Amino acid sequence: MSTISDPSPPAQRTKVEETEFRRDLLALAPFLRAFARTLSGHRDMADDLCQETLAKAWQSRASYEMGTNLKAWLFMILRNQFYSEKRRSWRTQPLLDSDAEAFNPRLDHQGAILDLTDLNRALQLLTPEQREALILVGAGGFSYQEASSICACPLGTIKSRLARARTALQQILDGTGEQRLERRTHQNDAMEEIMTELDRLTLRPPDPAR
Amino acid sequence: MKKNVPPPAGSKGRASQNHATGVLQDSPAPERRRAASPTGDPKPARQDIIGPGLKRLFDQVVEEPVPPEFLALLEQIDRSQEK
Repeated sequence: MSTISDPSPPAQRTKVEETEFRRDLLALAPFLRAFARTLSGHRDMADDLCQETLAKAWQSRASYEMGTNLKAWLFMILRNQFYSEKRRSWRTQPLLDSDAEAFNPRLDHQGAILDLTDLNRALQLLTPEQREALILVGAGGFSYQEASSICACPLGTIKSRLARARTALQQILDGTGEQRLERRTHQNDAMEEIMTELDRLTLRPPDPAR
Repeated sequence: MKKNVPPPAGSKGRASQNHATGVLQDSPAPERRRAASPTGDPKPARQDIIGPGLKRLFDQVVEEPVPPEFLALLEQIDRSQEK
């Protein structure tokens, strides 16, 4: 769990402003979690990331300009935290079933079936840069301009990442891209192993020594 | 003076010319149609459901209750503020 190492509040903020800031942090925590979850694809990792972001935001509150977009500021901190963690010790684990199950597949309201577990898995096959652009604009409600500020890149870069992300995601889901969803479950793998072994035993020529 | 030149055969310009009056007339805009799926399936195309899917994926987490650890962290912030 994260701890607060710098408890001294900045002198220029009033007590009321500090309280408001804390209240706003709490109100935005669910959005931070959602961004962290979709960005990392891991529930626990996302919550750690989120807590570290809240702690960092509190420590750096003096640098936040009151009245500006706090949500974008927090997302920027979380994103920086995500990439510095990734640089330090990123575990390139495949998405576990338990993580994917965090999202409940539901019927799409338009009548088409879109399995959210598949969508989440497909999302994790994109590059982190494409993924974040897609999440920020497509789900987080940020404008291209805000997303470019959060990602510290030009507006055109965000637009092209977004376009590539949409195409790649569609290809992954359709099974037409270079990357495809690994739909095999552990149970399927075990069953396949058993059947292979059965085939091997059945097809084995009789042992002449017996 | 501008001459009224008849449009070349097979012209696909949006404006057509009434040769009797010499007045340019806007042809009706072609009706925009959604591309039909190759299978003739009335279901929406994949790209039409990815956007709402992403939003739902995101919103599902937003709607989850905030874990107690988060609240504890913010309480710690409060305590540190009081000191």
